[in-house]
Amino acid sequence: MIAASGLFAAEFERDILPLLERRCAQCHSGTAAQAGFDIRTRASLVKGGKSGAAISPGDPDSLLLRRVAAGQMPPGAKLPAAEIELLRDWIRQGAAAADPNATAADLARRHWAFQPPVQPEIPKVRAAARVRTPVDAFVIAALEKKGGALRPDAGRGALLRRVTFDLTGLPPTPEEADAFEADTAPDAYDRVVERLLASERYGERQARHWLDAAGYADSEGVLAADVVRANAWRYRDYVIRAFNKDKPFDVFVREQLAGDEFSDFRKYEKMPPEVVEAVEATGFLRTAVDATREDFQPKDFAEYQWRTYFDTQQIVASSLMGITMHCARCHDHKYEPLTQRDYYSMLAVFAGALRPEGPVLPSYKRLIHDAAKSEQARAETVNKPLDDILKALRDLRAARVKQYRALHEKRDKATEAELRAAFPAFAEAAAALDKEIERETTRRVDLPTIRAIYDLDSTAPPSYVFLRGDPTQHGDPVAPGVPAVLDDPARPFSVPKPDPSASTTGRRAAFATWLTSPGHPLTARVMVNRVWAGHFGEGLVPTMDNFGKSGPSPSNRELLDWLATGFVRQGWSVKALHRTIVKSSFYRQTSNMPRRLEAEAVRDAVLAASGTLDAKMYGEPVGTRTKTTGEVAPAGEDCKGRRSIYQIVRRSAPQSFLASFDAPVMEINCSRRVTSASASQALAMMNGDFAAAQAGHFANRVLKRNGDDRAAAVDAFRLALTRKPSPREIDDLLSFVKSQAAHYPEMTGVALRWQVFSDLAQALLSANEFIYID
Amino acid sequence: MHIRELFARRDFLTRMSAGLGGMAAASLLASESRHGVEPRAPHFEPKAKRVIFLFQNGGPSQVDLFDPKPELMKRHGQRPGEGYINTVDIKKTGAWLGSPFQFAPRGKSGMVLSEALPGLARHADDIALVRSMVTTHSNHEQAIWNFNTGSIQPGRPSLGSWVTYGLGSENRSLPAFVAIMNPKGLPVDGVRNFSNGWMAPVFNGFPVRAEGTPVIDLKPGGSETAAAARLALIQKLNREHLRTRPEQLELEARIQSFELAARMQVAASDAMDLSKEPAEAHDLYRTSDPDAGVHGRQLLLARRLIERGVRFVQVLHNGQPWDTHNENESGHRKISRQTDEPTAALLTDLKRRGLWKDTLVIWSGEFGRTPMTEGKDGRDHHKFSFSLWMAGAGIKGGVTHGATDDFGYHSVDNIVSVPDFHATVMHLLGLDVNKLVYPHGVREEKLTDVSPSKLVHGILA
Repeated sequence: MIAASGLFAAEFERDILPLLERRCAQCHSGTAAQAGFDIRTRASLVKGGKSGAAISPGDPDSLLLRRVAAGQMPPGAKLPAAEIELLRDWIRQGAAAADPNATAADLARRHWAFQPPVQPEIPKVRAAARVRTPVDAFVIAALEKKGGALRPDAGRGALLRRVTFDLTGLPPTPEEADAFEADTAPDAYDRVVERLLASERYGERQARHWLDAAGYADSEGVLAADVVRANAWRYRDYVIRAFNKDKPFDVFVREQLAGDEFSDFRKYEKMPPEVVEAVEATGFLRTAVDATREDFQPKDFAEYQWRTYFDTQQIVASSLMGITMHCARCHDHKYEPLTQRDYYSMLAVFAGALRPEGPVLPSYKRLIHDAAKSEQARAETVNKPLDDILKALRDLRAARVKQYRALHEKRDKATEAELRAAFPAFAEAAAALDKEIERETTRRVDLPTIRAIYDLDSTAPPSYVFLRGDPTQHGDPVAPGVPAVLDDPARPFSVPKPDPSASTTGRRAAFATWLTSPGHPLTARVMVNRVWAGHFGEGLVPTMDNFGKSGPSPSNRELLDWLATGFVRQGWSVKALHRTIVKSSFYRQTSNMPRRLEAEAVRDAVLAASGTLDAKMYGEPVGTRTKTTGEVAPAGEDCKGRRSIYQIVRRSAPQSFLASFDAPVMEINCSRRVTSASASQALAMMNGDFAAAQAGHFANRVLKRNGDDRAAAVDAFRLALTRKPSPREIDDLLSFVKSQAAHYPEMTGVALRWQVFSDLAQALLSANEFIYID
Repeated sequence: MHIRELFARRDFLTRMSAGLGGMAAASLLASESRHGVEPRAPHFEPKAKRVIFLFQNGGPSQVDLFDPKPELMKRHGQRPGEGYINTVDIKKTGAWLGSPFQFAPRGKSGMVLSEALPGLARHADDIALVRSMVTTHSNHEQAIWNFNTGSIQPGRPSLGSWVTYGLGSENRSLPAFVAIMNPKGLPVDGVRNFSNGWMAPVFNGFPVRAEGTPVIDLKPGGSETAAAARLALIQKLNREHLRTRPEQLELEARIQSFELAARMQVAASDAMDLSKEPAEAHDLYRTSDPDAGVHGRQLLLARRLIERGVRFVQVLHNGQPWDTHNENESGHRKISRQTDEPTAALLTDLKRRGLWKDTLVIWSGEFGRTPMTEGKDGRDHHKFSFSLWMAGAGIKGGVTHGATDDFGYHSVDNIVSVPDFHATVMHLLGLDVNKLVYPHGVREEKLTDVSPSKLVHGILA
């Protein structure tokens, strides 16, 4: 027992109050407490009830102790000896409490992350000369307390490489490195930062981080089919655009949670671009695994759809709120002041749109048309008769197949190819029908659609607590709400009653407004922590998805709160936040911990160094093919390659190269990437088709722009690693070039030189220095 | 201040695990290590050191292979009574379908097995048959997740991940956990069948194939000496890089991963090269048989990997061959023909090579099939009863454990749940399923999640 060991004093808030709540609160809590005895605060314990004071500080013979030690209380359920000891220790040591009038609920609310951040004073530090942004003041103050100091500024090359990868996910070019090296103006670095923030590559890079949090994937994620989501990419593009235009983060959140409600998209004959964007944003609530199909039984539908609903709430809670809400689905949270009731109240926020018990369309039909209503009507007029014709044609074709199978010796087992071979008449008829079907199909009008969320009308089905998390076991009914511990008693969360004629419940809009109110304790903190982690590999709170009591405390709370309050003050500008961080001396100091690039950045960097990166942005994802070796690779990547964010994310068939570098499979979402050093990475770089092909392009690139071997080798080194090689490294490269030729006795001239430089390039792309940033 | 906050995470883990015994502490810390497959001691003296898991995707039919039901034969064609329903779709509840397969006692033990499995019949005295399995879901995916990962929720680590997390690897040149794919394609639910879930990626099953290219990128495309020279340059660059960044464990680990990859090129190429097996072994496993050849090669490869100290080998079919919604009889005859003799060969081979004493073989699908028809001549998914067998280290041969009702519909006697099965497998490996925990978020996760489990003592030697 910790307390009995004498090493630690029993603490009221940590040890005693939870014990009393657990053992005694059923009878002795609140205004209706039995015998007038309320155990909820130290003050009420001292006051006691009908039998007098329950505790007398310092007196181990207090009434409470006598009762529990004798087993009189709780009746019929004597406390374990260790718990009695704990109570005795606490009382004997004076029954201290930080706040004698605070209940457990009051204390829960006092957890740092559940209190609105207050802008702290910027501390004064001795090493004032190192303070470039207030980030430094906070960091240096903490260091100086421990007798530490910042490390010196990193060299220009290392810094440029770091900031370019961090902001854009790509390496700097040698030209950019030379320009920065030569730029002696005091604002040289600031101008580099501005250039990077203005680059469209910035949005692609930051979107990747956000799509992890959102659990983005291009496939539904269940059943063998793992159906591809034809239009999920519009949400991906929305996210890239939002970062590039520095959409204020509060707007970004509101659109993702309720863009449909805020924009009232139904009122437009044709949605204007800003409304289209708001609707695209709601793809955030459609990323979860979703198995609904047209042919599902209603009971299956409910079973699968509830899971989608639960996962969606988990994505919202973990990515935006940093709370482990999902642990309260089956019972009250074991470590957090989150109740099961909180869980289902928050779930009810989404009940207007996510309706597991119907009416709801299968996932792929829950779409909003991105076209004028008149066009939609026209499309319907055109398509309706065509669909009837198409059905008739397909039925006819099926009947023909059946008819000829009956004549074939293999009967039902005969393939169509076998039928065509055996019966020319069938071949002819089938071909004619196929042609007809194709012609009719091309006459259909297919309008662009958006995978979005929307309420069906102003009502929502009733919501309940589900006993043990089972949707078939209804407990108390619940109204839409937010976790009680986060609700402001002065201004409690409420959903305005919708006009019955409204097309939406307004629940998500109310929730989004609450979540993005400037004083919200979590929203800004969670986001600044995410951005911070994007620059340092680890957040100020290391658990990005858990700011609760069970998570670790921030390593520098004042800094976190200063960043969070500053973020809101600066209009929730993510770019401004990046500036504050990357312009700091803390960010600019020499590294003591190299960080490995994420999978997508590794692949993108290979393409960039090899000169094959296709800068095309947006649109349908690049598909994959499964090679005969079993490798899943992007289609057509032997030549140019688009950035990895545009590659299809199929949950059942992850791309081999990205998977080997620890790209997550999106079961729900990914709060934090892990980094492994597995042999499959080494094999992919040493022997893989992608690495070999890109090395070949890389060799072409350096041989084309350089004359002699030395210049080509140095250029290759710089393209891959940014810095200039040392004389010794140049010697190593040149001796490799010289000796490597011997391994290709059958080759000569240009071909041999290309092969040797391909090998050199492949080695550079495989090197640790290529995929680690200092 | 909260006590937890006083400690860095690693110290916290040490403290947390102090109450769980030293082994758990070692395991917990290993999970923090990025390259945590070094061998680890089990919780107690193990019976088995390695596992070959023959996963039968689709749900083999218990009443046609392992569990003879005379009453079902008698009632063939009759409508089942109250309560005997098809749990996938009640409307599809068909008439009782007696098995068209003949059953007979086999071996000295007299274990009753179907004519579909003549090879296994010769090993009746070697295997322990469990006829009383139950699972919790009638859909493939959920049931596969349950059987492979301990929960009907997706995204958890698979059995092989837990075993390699618990015990590490005995071989420094091969992955600890290998999934042998059917060259024709992935099983249903794809790579999730051998996924590490939220465990460190090092515990992921390493996919290999028993034909064509066994391991993606194992061999350089061109000259091997040129590739070796390339590797030498890579490592020269890496060591120079490390020299100015001393004591960076991650950089060192990656240097080692290139060494491992180089060793794998040799070791895995050797392990995967079935041409090194004598003709007699090929005959035994029927590797050139038009029906059984593919599975024969998979199992011969499994034996070669086990022999080299791979901890966990999972053998997978493509798709889900046992899923006989139509033509149940011919379907079961076909897949039995493809798998039975190679399976028997594996058991024979393990015994004669002395691998029997520390290798555990598991044969199971994710659920069983209905004793009623689906449609004309099929059987649907069934969660209330199915059969599995285990053999080898720590298993009592010739045992038939548990029983179903007269129709093979409900397991009724000595019921074994999936968590019971998991606990028993881990027990055989010297691991206590309740002590092997992996920290994940705010929880400490176990293979059996929150389900209670008990050991299946009846099948233990």
